[in-house]
Amino acid sequence: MGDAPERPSTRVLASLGQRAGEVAHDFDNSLTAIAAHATLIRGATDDPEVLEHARAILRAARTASQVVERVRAMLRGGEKHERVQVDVEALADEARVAVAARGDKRGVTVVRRREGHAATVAGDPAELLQVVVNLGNNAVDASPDGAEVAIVTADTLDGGAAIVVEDRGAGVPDELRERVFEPFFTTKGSHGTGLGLALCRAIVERHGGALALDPRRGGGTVARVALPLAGDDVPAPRHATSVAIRGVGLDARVLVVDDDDGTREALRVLLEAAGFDVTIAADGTSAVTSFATRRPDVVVSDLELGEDDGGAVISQLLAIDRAVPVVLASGKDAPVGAPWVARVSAILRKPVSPVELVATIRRLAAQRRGAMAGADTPRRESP
Amino acid sequence: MGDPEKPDFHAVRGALNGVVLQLEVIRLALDKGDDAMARRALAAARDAAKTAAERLDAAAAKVGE
Repeated sequence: MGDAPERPSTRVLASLGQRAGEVAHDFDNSLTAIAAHATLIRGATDDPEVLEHARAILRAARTASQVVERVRAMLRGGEKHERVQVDVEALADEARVAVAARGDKRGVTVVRRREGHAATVAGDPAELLQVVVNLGNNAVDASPDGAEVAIVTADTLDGGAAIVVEDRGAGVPDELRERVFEPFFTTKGSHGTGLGLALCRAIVERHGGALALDPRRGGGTVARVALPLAGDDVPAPRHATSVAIRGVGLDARVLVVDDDDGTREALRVLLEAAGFDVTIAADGTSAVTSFATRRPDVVVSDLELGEDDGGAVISQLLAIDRAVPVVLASGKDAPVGAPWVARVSAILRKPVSPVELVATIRRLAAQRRGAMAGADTPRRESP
Repeated sequence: MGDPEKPDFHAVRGALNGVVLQLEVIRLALDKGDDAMARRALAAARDAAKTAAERLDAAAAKVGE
């Protein structure tokens, strides 16, 4: 014994937190300026090499900004948070979609199992989603190629709800099982910030729950989030699902082609809020130019594009890249028998539900990433 | 692009799509506490709703209502 570190006093921690918050604020301002200039560069050039560098700057700024946000989130421990009813099954389903995208890139299958009763907990849906996605991403990172990660919903022994993430990786050594929850401790070398698990535990404990890592029988790790059920006094969420949930957009590039200024701009705002890297085009010529230079993961196009025929534009894009998933969003029916219609991945009829559109793009982007990694090509979905 | 003699209800759907999207932007703006964004989206939603009404009137006129 004897070597146990002395715990800093609450006053010292509060002072440290305040300083860290100030630094985070200044750092975030600098990141905002960096991202703004990178965005300007992206919009001012068609040079593919410059565009790629601008995108790399944006990605790095986004990652750094997420680190700042995580620091802030940990420092927010004492703040009062609005709590609403959170459907545990829906939360785990949403997390699976996000984690599966990472799994597709790494040859890891992400499955869902329901082993408990339907449960509702009280909490911040975005924060709880962040926890499960973070645990799921860690599980994918720890998994060998071809392995399976399971996101399981279950009951706890004391009548609460549990979300369990199981992987079949090398497992966490006994001596590190608690250390991995310490801020800035990481087993991922330069690829990790050491904040993910610390933040996850802080969030879960703010929700009155507990987060623990245990060895999985047969090898691997079981991350278990236990949460108390919501009381009768907890209000329902203002909206069941929001495209504003951050951090689960797969970082996919989306090209939106629509001749209506308001629609185009609204889609840009909404899809960026959902985490996508969005490019917009008003007509066929700019759509083809943007497509050739930016190589989007998914295209969303209207059928009528002013003077241009959306079908012809989609055909041109598919001639450049025959495997790119295309979502047709139109108030008109797609013309029967047109050859390009059979190659469209999804057809959504206007008025389009933004939530459905985001879910469709996420699904297609994940399939696309899987296809690029050698898996199945995107399949046509029902309109 | 369509037949000018026929009522274009698809165009009404297109304008209503604008309304739906702007409402979602307003919700996003309220979540973020961004009043300016909410005001812009509200104005755009009004424009889209007006366009939808005009297109509906035009379509109705073609079917004699």
